[in-house]
Amino acid sequence: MTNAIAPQPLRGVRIVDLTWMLASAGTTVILASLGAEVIRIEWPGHLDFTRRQLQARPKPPPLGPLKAPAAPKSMQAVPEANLSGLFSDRNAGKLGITLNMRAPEGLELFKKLVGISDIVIEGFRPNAMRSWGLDYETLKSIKSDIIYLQMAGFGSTGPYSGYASYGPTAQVMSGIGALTGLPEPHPPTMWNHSYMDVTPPFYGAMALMAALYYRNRTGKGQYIDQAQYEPGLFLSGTAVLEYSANGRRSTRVGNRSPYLDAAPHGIYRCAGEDNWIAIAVFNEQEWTALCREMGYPSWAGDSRFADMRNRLANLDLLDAHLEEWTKKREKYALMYQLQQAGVAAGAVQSPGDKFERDPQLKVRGFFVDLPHTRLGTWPHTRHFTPRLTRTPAHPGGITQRGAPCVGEDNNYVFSTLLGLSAEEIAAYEERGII
Amino acid sequence: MPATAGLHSTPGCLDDVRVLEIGDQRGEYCGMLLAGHGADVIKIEPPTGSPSRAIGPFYQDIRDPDRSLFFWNYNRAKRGVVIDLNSSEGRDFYTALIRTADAVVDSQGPDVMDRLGLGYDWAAEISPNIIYCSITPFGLNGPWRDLKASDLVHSALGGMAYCCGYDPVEGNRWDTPPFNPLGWQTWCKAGEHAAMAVMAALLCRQMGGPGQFIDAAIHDAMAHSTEGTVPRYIFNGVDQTRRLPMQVRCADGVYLNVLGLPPADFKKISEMVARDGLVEDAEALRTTDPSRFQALPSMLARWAARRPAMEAFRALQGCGLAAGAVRYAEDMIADPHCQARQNFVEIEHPELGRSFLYPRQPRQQAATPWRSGPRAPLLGEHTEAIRRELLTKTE
Repeated sequence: MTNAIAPQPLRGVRIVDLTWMLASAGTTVILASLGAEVIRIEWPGHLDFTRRQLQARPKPPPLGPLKAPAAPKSMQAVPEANLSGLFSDRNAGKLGITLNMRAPEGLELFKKLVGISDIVIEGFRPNAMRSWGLDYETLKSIKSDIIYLQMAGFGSTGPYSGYASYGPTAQVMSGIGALTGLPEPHPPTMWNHSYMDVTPPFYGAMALMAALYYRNRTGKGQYIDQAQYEPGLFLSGTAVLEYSANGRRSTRVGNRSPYLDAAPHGIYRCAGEDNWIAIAVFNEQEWTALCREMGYPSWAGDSRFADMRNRLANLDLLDAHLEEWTKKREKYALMYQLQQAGVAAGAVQSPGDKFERDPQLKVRGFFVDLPHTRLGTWPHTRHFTPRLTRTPAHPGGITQRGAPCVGEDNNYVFSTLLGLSAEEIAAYEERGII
Repeated sequence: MPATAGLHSTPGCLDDVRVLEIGDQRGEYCGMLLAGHGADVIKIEPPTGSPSRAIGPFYQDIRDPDRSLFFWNYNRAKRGVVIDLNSSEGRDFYTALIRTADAVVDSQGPDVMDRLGLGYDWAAEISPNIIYCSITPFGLNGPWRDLKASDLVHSALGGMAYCCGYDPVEGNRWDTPPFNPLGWQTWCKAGEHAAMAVMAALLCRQMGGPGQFIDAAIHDAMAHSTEGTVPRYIFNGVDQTRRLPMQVRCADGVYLNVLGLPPADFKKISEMVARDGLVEDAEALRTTDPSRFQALPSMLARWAARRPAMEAFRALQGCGLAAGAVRYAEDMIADPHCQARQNFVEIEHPELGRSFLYPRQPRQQAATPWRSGPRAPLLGEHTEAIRRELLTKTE
């Protein structure tokens, strides 16, 4: 399966993909965009849960010039497995096959696939693969240099191994969720999007690329066990050190900047409903520029705001005064005005703003139109964002399309790759194996 | 007890890779991730030290370039040299280092190294197969290229803040702003994408391809960080806003996050709640359509309020419910699961006569364990050693 604009970094790398939902499926979508041949396995009793979520509205919005938001509120959900936009975004560029892992004959075909692959990745409960007789040693006996990445919620060892974990679970059990919002007695807000579904895939993708590099150098494969909460805990290093070194516990601070002097430093209301701007002032030059843009209001001349030390001591009052000014202004116009004056400022962009109004993402090519066999052509997001100038990534990968429909690539995988005859394939289909 | 990080006694995936890291906090996480995978990362600082040495908190609250806990955390497993790129001696040193390097991670900002005459074009002339990764706020093209940013501003523009906050007062009206999640997530996101890119470029080169230039933007990485919210807008026209998570407060004041997704066994949970004498809640749990899991917090609030969060966590997980106690990172240090997985490590700081606790690794990888130490370099700590290394090589 080659294509004129096929990406190259992982060309020739074949991945057997038994991922699930977001955190593990997000790992292979990155590798697919780098040119790996990712073979996503599902079967009728085990279709990805995400296939039931976010079914697409009837017509895609065009990737045309920037326009004001004018999107339909929702659409009539169609309970069908090939219509999920979220699934397509998280599985673009992959091949899709049906293969019943619970049937012995299915396992035999799976093993054949492993024999011609470089990587096996899965997001089951930790004991699922073992219960099918498929641990690392078995996989290694099939393919001696296989790389096996297991992405179970709490990992394959430890007392919570086997516990259920979704993104929000990993977010709170790693310490990063508790740090967002206002201090006690207010509750933590966490992230309303699932940050710990978005983050672990980077660590999974890094693990696999590094392991490939190592294998190419040494001939050795390896087993990797990554729990969903572990990258989150790893991101909490400064908080752990603050406790270890200074004996100080973590607290929420709203939008303040406790570790780098800045005042004002916050998110302020702008004109219209739910429009906001972030403003961060790190020195006197920026403060003077901000005062000039505000037209030197009398409050700004108060000694309580005379320098950083004084402003830091009077943050509540400073924020209140500043918001009186920002709340009458349009967020993008104000952002450009302040930026021109040399003040770090940015509109708080909603998901829709990023798609409809952000000129930078448009120029950077963050959204890429991909055809989907059932949905037609829709914009998909990049899961690997850096620009590799000689071997660019592409969200369409080697398939140059969105996610596969259920079993869409059965013929290529079972016939071309595994050499089964049409009769054999038909017989497997009849018995519910594929 | 967590193990003590040794010097490099175990193999690393990127053992034969040398990375030069130049710039500030925007590139440090990338360098640390590459070092964690085994690369020999040399951090190059100006004589005044990296600006990130001024970011707090500080050990014993003493502001000092060698006591920034921020710097400690993001510069582990690296070596550090001081080079004044404005001096001819410094440029010679940098040139000699470039000859030995596989990759450069440059977060100095657009054009800064080019203006010094030390950018990619120059580096590629000296070392044709070099990988050069530029990390900048918005990338090297586009109308926002030269905007001024910060962690907060990136969180706003990237869309992270928009989805983090309290419930609206009514409809689409809030009396609280969106909140930026603490923990320097914006620089970490950039580092994750950039480290992946360096690895992809290393793989290309390993298979006989050329080196290349990489243009990594914090804004691009942040735009991706909001999970399904952008696809949801594209495919469904729904702009996801802020809402408190599904959580209940336990007897110890700790919140418990509860998600009624498979494989939750509501019958079993109902029986457990009934044993507490909470008949109405048990009945609601038994009869409510499990797909309507939004109602879970109200059904579990009374039961949870009678026990500490970790006890409630284990009990609900025993029923297959994806519950999670909202804990601070330091609460996880004594957690039996984290202990079993050795998620923390003591790293020696010999000059201070003691060790400090750090998160050890983002995953378990026995064949090529994560390189979590030694501690971050003191300012200029390895300048002379590396200079000597280079001299030995040329002799």
